[in-house]
Amino acid sequence: MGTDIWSELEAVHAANPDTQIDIFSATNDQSYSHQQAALRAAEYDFVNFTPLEGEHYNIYYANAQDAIVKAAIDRL
Amino acid sequence: MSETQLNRLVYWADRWSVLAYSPRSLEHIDTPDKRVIVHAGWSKSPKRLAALMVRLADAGTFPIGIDTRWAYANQGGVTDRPRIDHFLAAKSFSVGNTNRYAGTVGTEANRYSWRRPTAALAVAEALELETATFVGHSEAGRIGTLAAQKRPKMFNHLLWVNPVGTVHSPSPVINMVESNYQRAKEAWHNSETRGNIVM
Repeated sequence: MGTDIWSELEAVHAANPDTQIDIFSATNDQSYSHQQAALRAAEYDFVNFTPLEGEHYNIYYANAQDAIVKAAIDRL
Repeated sequence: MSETQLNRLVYWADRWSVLAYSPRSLEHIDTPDKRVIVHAGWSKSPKRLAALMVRLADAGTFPIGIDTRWAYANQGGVTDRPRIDHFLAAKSFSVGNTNRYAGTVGTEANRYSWRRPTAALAVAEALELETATFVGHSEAGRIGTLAAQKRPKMFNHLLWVNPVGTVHSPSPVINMVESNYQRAKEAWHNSETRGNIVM
């Protein structure tokens, strides 16, 4: 199960330093692989990381969909 | 709204159907509204993808959702087009995921496992987008980074919720995505193939 998004983000940033990268993730269960990946990515200064409140830590679609729409409204 | 009520872009590319949905008319893609390519994550039904498309359109964007069922149709040894069409028509959800193939990335037999980033690139090409935001959830991190590495000027904004990446070296995957993309472009610019487009 691959969750390491680091090297890919470095490659994306190197290819176009102007690329805007916004990552939204909950931080309430850091044993969860998706949160681990997001928090590692958040360490890059070219990544805009926004912690999410509530139960956005899982991959179930209902709350993820809400988070996607909110993120789009906020950043687009 | 169901996926059947949405506007569709579909064409046959390199033994595959590329299928994308939007609640807005794809013939009017030249709009000041933000164009977003949406990958909703692994195993999301077209019905739910359609619902997300409508919500993003209501939020003022021009969303184009990639149907992920059309990503991995070589699964189970199914390789010919009629059987693929039949196989996919019976599936409500995506028929595979990139994790399953992670151990064999870059091999020819695994070429079609990476149709999702190829589909995002192909749809952007078909719609003649100069720039687009890649929006998505979970596996969208993996797909978006691959697409952005191949076309960094086109996908100049990545916006994710709970993204994941690919733990393996991306090099063989990148090469595979590129060759897939070139095949899809050839198919798109082939007049016979374009005759099958539905918008």
